[in-house]
This record gives sequence, structure tokens and C-alpha cells, in this order.
Amino acid sequence: MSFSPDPQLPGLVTASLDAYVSACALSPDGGTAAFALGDGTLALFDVASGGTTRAPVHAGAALCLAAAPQGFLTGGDDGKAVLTRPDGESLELASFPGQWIEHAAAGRDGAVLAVSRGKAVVLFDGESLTPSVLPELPATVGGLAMPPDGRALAAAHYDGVTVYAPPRPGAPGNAFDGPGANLTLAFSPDGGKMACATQDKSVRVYDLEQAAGYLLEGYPAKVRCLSFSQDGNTLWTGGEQAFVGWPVNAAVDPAAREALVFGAFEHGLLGAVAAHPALPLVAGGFDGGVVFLGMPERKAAAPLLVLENRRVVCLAWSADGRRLIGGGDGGAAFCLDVTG
Amino acid sequence: MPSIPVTVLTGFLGAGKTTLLNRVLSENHGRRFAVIVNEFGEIGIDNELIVSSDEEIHLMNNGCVCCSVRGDLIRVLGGLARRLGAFDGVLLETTGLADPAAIIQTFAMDEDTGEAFALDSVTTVVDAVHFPRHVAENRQALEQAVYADLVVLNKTDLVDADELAGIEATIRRLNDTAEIVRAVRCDVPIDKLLDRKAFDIGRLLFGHPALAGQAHEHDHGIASVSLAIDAPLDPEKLGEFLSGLLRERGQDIYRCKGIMAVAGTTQRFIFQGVHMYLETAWGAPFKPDEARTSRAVFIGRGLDRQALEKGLAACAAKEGNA
Repeated sequence: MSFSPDPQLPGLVTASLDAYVSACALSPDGGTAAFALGDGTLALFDVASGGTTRAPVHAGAALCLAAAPQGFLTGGDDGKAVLTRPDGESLELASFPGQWIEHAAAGRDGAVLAVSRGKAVVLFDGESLTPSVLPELPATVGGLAMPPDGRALAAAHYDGVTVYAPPRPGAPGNAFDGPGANLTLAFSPDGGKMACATQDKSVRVYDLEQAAGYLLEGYPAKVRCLSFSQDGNTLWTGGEQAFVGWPVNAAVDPAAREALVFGAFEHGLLGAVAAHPALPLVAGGFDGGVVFLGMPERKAAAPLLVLENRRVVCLAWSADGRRLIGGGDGGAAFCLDVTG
Repeated sequence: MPSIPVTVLTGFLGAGKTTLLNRVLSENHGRRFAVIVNEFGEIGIDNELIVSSDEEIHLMNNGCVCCSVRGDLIRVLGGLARRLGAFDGVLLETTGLADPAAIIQTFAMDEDTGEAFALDSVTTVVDAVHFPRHVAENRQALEQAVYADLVVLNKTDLVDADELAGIEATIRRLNDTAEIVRAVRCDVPIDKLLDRKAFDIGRLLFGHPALAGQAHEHDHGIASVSLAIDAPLDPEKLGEFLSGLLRERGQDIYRCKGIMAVAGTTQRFIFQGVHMYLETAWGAPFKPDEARTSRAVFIGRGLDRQALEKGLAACAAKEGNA
């Protein structure tokens, strides 16, 4: 249940958390790695001391997680939104009995925190932590995202994506077209672009300046993960038995776009992906449990580690790019210091 | 990891779905269930893990109007899957007018759902008192019976034997493989309900074609067409025929299934489909002394028996290839 150093790989600590790892995130200062778990707890790994704390935050399963300077925001199938400090002390922000809090998002400065509750987005003021429920969307929220600067909030739902820029109480939101069921969302680091995976094995990319979206298709499976490269010019996606990177800079003609595909892995689909925050590197977790480090410039990928899981569910880098963390459906989790 | 069985309980409002649900839950079976209901109704449900989910039909963007999945089920089952080892099975109680096709297609078309869960049964509770009226007024009452592998004919104490026989005949006319169990206050033995594996393509069932077929005035044009063909078929032509048929008529074809003899192999070619979704597999080989007869059933609205017969006959393998 606690993290312990791996005997083979220097810099790697692993743990068997005995619960489905729903999501993971590092605190903005990089000092704490958090894992939201299917048994309702939040596992907190203190990077400096190597200690593990397990905070009971939800009565059922913890479904989502977002890191902010105030702490870790989680949502659960008990209808609660909870904020937990790195030391494990938690504060209930809101409770909606009978509903699930399935998605959470926060910007780097934590000015606004957000969760979704059925068809509605709930905002929390960064200082007072007072909740305000935005007007209901036409369908249940399938994904929620904020760019690092926190100046926008996007909610994916059936037949579109609604963007609140800036996210504030009473905001009506700006509807972006997107026929079908829309799920996982991601923003580019500068907040200028947004990508949304759909139920139909495709990804739609939006340029927020132009309000126009285009579709990326050809996947053999549903895309479960998205991540923009640091420069915002490449969109990394799952849904294939390889790393898939789409050129999404304005200079490339949408009709002539061709994906960079490398690091083919015949044993499973890419289910979790995280672009490095500074270097041209991308981490990918494949079904079966292998985590690879992709090097797009060399069109190659090297295995980093294997998790005892059927699926790698989540991966995240620390803001400084020094640490990579992740977890899977069988409860295995890791924190890797890539500097050794 | 073995997939978790899901039992779907469907049927019109007041038929007794919740009664059946509570009967399963109260029985001493040693299993733990997660229960999904559309809304908390008047009758309480005694279970620790219970989720309410609003039916959300999501059309797939593949140009097919009948390819829909239940977005809410994908979400709720995906969420429940995170509670490792917390339950051994799922009971899903639908609304009275729910379309089982979208539920079946969800398991087939969403790989995350299909990987972690297995559709075990679509059990339809039929209200013996009101079924004739429900059928006359709503196509859905018949459709729910078409998709069922188990029909619980409930409230049999309130109608006479002739009426019961008439209801059973109506159900058999459209779905001759469903097991029909008569019940009073849903007193069905629990082992009838669980571990049915009814949607496992390896356990495809065929009934008695003699009982099916004839259209009936209150059937809303829904009929079952049962075909048999003795000549071995060309697998390629058969594949083209089926995909073409479902592409053009899939909206009206609720279900199809077949166990076919094809040229070039002794193995049975098996297919089953719901609207435009088709699943195929190779089954056990025919024994040397066994008649290599192909059988197929199409259940749908406004089906053209002759066209189906002709289309299938045209898939016959050329002489000498058998």
C-alpha cells in the first residue's frame, strides 16, 4: 500500500494500491503525487520523504482529480467534491447526493476550480471555495478541461463542446459544434487549441480563435487519451497500438494532415498519454501495462517500466518535467524521477 | 479478469420489473449486485450499491440512423468498474419504453463496456392482464419481447388459460427461442434469471420455425422469417449479402441470426446481429454423418420473405466447391 524504491531502476518508486487508479496528478510545486482511487481514497506520495498517506475522501469510488495550489480536487460517485491538502487533510466543497462527480479541472493558479455534476458544471471560487452551479447543458458532461492559465473552461457533451471564457458564475458559455457523443478533452498549453475525443473513434480539434473544428479519423478503437505537445503544434492521442501525433499547427493544411505514427506495440492500445512539459518527449501507457517514452524526433520509443495492470489508466508529468507518475486499473502505480 | 455479467430487466410500466428486481436481491444467493435504475420509483429497492441513470441515447456518427448506444450506460458501467471486487453482477432496470436494441448495441459497439462487462440476459416482464392492450397500442411492447431471451409472463393468476396461451403464441410468433416462464408476483426461480449467457455467440439457439412466421394484425408489421437451405454457401457471397442487407434494411431488421454450412470447411459459420451491427464466428464442425443444413432467422418490420429467400439462395457455392 506504500511506495517503495524499485530494486532495478534508479529513481523509480512503485506501489500496489489495491484499488483502481482513476486519475493521477502532481501538485503544482511537484512535491506531492496524488492518485485518486476506486475505493474512495486519495493516495498521496511525498516525493522528498518517500512517505505515503492514504486520505479517505469519498464514500464510494473517487472518479476524477485535478491539482491546484490549494490542494487536490476530487469528485466521487458519492456526489461530493472534496479538496485535499498534500498532508491529507480534506475539506468537502460541495455535496450532490444521488449524483456522480465525474470530471474535475483546474488551472495552474487555482483562481477557479471546476467539476461536473450530471449536465451541469460547478465552479468554485479559488479563494472563498464557494460553489456556483452553471446553467445546465443539453446533455451529461463527458469531459472537462482547463488550459494552464485557467482563462477558459471547456465541457464536452453530446453534440458539442461548451467553452466558458472566462469561467465565472452565470457564464452562458460559447457552444462549439461537434455532432455525436463527445468525451475526453484537452487544451494546448497556450490555451489556443482544444481537442475532444468522441465515441466514434475520432478526435475533433478546435482553434478557439477561429471557432472552427476539424475531425481526425482512422482509429481502430475509441480514443481514451489526448495531450498537446509543449509548443502546441502536435496533438498526441491514444486509440492505436502505437504513438500517434497529429500536426495541428495552423501552417499545415487540414486536408493534407498526416499523423506521425511510431513505437508500434502489438500487444495493446495506447490508453494513457502525456507530453513532456519542456522537451520533445511523450510518455505513453499501453494496455497490458507497459509505459514507453516516445522520442518523436527519432520516431522511436523505449520501454520505461511495466505495471502489473490490464490497462494503464493515467499518466502525468510534474510541471518541471522531472517526474512522471501513473497508475492502472489493477492498482499498480509509480513515480519515476527521470533524472535518476 | 473475467467480465461481470449484466442482466437487463425490461417490460412495460407496471409489469413487475421492480418486483422481479427485489426478488433477485432478497434471495439468499451469496452474490453482490450493483443495481442501475432509471429513477427511484414508488417501490423501494433494498440494495447497498444502487445508481440512478437517465437514459441517454447517443447516435453513432457512422451514417447509420439505427446505430445507437446508451451513453449513460457506458458512463455508469465505466464508473462502477472502478470499484474492484465490490460486486459480482449488475442488474439494470430499464424504463417502460426503453429500446433493448440500444442496450445490446452498447455492449457490442463500445469496447470498454464489452471488455469489462458481458450482457448475460435481456429479461422482459410481460403483464398478462394488459399485454394485449399494450401490444395493440405500442410497438415497443412487442419489440421488448423480440429482444428477450427470457420472458417472465407475470400476473398469470389474473387471466384465464386461453388468454395466457394467446399471449404465449404472440411472443413465440416473433421470438421462438425466448424461454417463457409463467409467474405470479414474479415468483421466478433465481437460477432461471442468472448465468444465462444468452448473448454469447457460441450459444446461439434456434427454435421451431413452424411456430414462427405468420403475420398477425396487431403485430405492427413485425414478423419473424425463418429460412433453411441445404446447399453449402459461399462464405464470401454470404458476407456480402448480409452486410448489404443490413446496410440497406438494418433499421427494420431487429435481430438476425444464423448457423450456416459453407463450402470449403466443415466448420459452422455463425452470425448474429442487432440492426446494422453484425457479429460472426466459426462454430463447431458438422459431424460427418450430419445433414449440412443452414438455418437463419430474421426478425423485423416489413420483411420481404421472398427477397430474403432469394438473396440467401444466391449465396450458394458453385458445384464442386463444396
